[in-house]
Amino acid sequence: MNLDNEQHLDEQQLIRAVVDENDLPWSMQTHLVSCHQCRSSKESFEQELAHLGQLAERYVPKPQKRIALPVHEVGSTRWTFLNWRHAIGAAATVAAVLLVFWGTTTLRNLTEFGTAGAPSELMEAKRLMTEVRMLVDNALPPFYLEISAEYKPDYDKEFYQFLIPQIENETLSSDRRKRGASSC
Amino acid sequence: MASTDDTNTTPGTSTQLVLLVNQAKDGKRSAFSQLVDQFQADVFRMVFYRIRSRTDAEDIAQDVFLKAYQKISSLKDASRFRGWLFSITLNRIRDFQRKKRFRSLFKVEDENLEYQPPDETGTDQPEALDRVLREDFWRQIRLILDKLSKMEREVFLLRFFDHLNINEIAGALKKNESTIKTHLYRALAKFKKEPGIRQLLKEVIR
Repeated sequence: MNLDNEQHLDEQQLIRAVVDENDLPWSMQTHLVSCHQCRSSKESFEQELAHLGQLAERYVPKPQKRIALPVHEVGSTRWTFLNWRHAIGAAATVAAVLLVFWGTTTLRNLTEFGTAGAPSELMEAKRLMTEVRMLVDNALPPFYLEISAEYKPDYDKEFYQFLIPQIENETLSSDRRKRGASSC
Repeated sequence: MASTDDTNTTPGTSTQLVLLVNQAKDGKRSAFSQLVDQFQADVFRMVFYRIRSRTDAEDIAQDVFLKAYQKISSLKDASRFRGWLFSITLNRIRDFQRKKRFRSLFKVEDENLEYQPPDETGTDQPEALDRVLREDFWRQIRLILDKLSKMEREVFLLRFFDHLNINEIAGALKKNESTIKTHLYRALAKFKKEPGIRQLLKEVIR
């Protein structure tokens, strides 16, 4: 078989071969195995890329710090202080959220009570208390108060004495006896 | 260093590594320390290629191993440790870059830190020629990487700088293999059109 008569790999196929030879069509793969020219082009490109990596490595400084690992064991990391700290943090966050929720709800309830329910209820309570106080002072209905003595607080004791004079027990009884005697 | 250029072999699946990872999962600190020794250079380089600052790369590498140490018990398949570790590294790099972008909104001078040529190569200063070569190399790399899309750049770096195989890249980026290959074809096609870096590489090879 004359290899020179076969079609050589073009640039795209060469790149494809560098990335992964298996991605080439089967005919190209077999050509690559047997064609010295194509194989050397591929190897030359691969060598360039390998040198690129080597040069990059050469021109990188050496790290001066050593890696420091934490003191605790690897396996025990699941329940370490760090994780407890996370757990406490999470619990505190949940508590804060609940507190804020509770606070907001309470505040909203208070606001609703203060704005909507309070004035009417308060007024009603005040009115009732006034009535109670009035009844304590004067249990009589207003009509009867007109004729009751309580309604005229200006009248003093002398005036009442005048209206209803105090009757001496003895005098009254002697008068009755006299009247009784005369009637009989 | 656990690295490879061959797509078909996975150094991370070696029995010794699997043994170490399983011991570390069981809580054996010394096993994890051995893993750190084995992968510290890889992780540091991986960060440095993307951040271009030695101190930041050291800090991020420290974070990566701390995270890996805390989470290793959640790793189901010990043979995938390498990809898993690089996945953590990529996430940390992304976090760092995100924070840096946020900081750069307030600080104008932070803007061009990412592509600063690495002039901090340790305590011993290399010779002038080597320094010039190094600066030229990073300048050329920067020129190439700037021409690639974000995904192409990441795939290219992971494959040829970090020496991950296609399967590991797919795992680290959480994409399927054919997507990774497509990005890699595109990146390589663009790379082939860059005469500067290829000339530089040829000179080095000679």
